[in-house]
Amino acid sequence: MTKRLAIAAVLFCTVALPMRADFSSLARALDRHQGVKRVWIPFLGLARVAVRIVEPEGVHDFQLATFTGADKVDARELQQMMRTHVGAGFKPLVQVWSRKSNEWSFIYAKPVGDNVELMILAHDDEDTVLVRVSVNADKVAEEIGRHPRRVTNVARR
Amino acid sequence: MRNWILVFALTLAAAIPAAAQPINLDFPGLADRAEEVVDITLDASLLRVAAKFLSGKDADERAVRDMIHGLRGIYVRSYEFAREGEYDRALVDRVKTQLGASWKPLVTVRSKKKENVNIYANMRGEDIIGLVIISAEPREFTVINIDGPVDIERLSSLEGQFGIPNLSKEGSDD
Repeated sequence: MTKRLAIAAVLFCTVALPMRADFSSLARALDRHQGVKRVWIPFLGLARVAVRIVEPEGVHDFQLATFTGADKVDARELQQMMRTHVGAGFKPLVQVWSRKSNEWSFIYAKPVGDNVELMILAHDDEDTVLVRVSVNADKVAEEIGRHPRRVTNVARR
Repeated sequence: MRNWILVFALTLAAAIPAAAQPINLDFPGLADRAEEVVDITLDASLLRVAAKFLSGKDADERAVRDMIHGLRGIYVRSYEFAREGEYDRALVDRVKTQLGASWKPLVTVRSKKKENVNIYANMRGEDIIGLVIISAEPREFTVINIDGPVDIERLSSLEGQFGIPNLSKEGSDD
């Protein structure tokens, strides 16, 4: 019974998590592109619940989607896609691409009080990742001040 | 009454700093031809957030934080091309023509084969309230605009940050 309740609670939490229109719209637009396929990551919803509860290193929330086949999409097309679907309040922070190495990163940011929301679409080698992360700038700075080396690990994770 | 309005409008126009006029760094079609593109836009609100990420304990980060305090924006546009001559060098003049009378040339480097560099400072009295760096190489075109009060003594703290190249290192390699 306890196990069932726990499963029900986890499922409820997963369903109840706010689905951000900007992230979903962007992920759908990318997924609809010919040759691009979204890769399902198991237990990601649970990880998101954990992050929202624990808020590790100032991270309040995150959403993540990975894709295959996006390396064939032109960077300019992705830039346009990002611009159209990123949502209100987001501003382009960094837009970098190289046709030579076929790597690109589009980072949009939205300051919300002491927090900053980042929407990142990046491609490196064969991996394409779309991430929305909400972080507390003060806490991250505090973390950098306390454990400068650990922050690199957090960024890699 | 009309004269009063005229005087008021003129006073208002004079009171608005020259830096309030943003420099247009859009170069239509250039990114399509470029092999590598770097486009960084840090306006005042994003700079305030960026400053929070910098720790006050580290001396270098503190210097950067102090430097960006009061800035209205940092804009970087850099385009690298596969071959020489893929961009029109007249783009340099297109940026220059936007600079008003308060902009003074600080550094001018001319080379037929290598890069041409122009650094302009927007002066208000003795103070620098903006900086534009234009670098035109045969295969690379870069424009950096720092909008806001700039302390030249501390400017080096911005090198290597926010997409601004490490100018002193590049210079020492030559």
